[in-house]
Amino acid sequence: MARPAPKKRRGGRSKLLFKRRKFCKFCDEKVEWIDYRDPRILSNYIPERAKIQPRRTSGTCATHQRQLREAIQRARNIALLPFAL
Amino acid sequence: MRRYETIFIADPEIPDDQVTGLVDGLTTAINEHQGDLIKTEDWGRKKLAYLVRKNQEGRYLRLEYHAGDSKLPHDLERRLRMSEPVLKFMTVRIDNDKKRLVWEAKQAVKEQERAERRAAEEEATAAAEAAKTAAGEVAAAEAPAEAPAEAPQEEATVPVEAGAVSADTAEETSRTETEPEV
Repeated sequence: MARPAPKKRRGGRSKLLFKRRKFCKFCDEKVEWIDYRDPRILSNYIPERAKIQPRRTSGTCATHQRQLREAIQRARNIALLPFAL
Repeated sequence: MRRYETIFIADPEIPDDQVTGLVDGLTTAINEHQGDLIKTEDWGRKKLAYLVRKNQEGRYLRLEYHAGDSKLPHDLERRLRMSEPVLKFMTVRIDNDKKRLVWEAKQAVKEQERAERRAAEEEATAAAEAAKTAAGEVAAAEAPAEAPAEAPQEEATVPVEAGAVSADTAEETSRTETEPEV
């Protein structure tokens, strides 16, 4: 499993002590290629205003974020996903 | 030879024969350019994520082909642009996307495995049913006293398997089926 164990922060306040470490869901599931024709997966990464969720919130790794971005943009082009809401 | 896929959205209100006409026209264009059509898919009516020429829905179609000469994608796009019932189209080159090719190969393997499993399950249910009828005949012929003890057990196992198979196939058909025209 690629999922990292929760990491304790040394010297942090108690609030930060058990903060869950983010991980890339695509790496966890060993996704080779993100299918742009499947809006069900992609729609998890376009919250509220249909903007692409940044890596800092989703925890996606750089490689998969790049793939995800391309997939979302293609899906928008063919009206599977909205450009804006 | 380069490989492409073209997804296009047709007006959902047009009749089926016009859709096939449209696809045939594109197929002849592919043949004219020494291309090679690999696959056509009809995804049926889908809700669009935004309005396209005031349409809320569209009929999605997908063509996958090898391009014979380099003019083919241009020519196909020109045709799509000129034809009235086509709302939107997109062409993507796929032969240079290695990750995708790996993914597609794995999907194909999975698909085949699923088909094999389904065939095996169907065979198993058929065999079970045959066994059940045979057992019923035997029980009826030989020992009437023993039949009530054995028969309910047989009946209990068979419907469960049949249910599992039908659920599996139902899922499969719902994914590929074309939504009916209104």
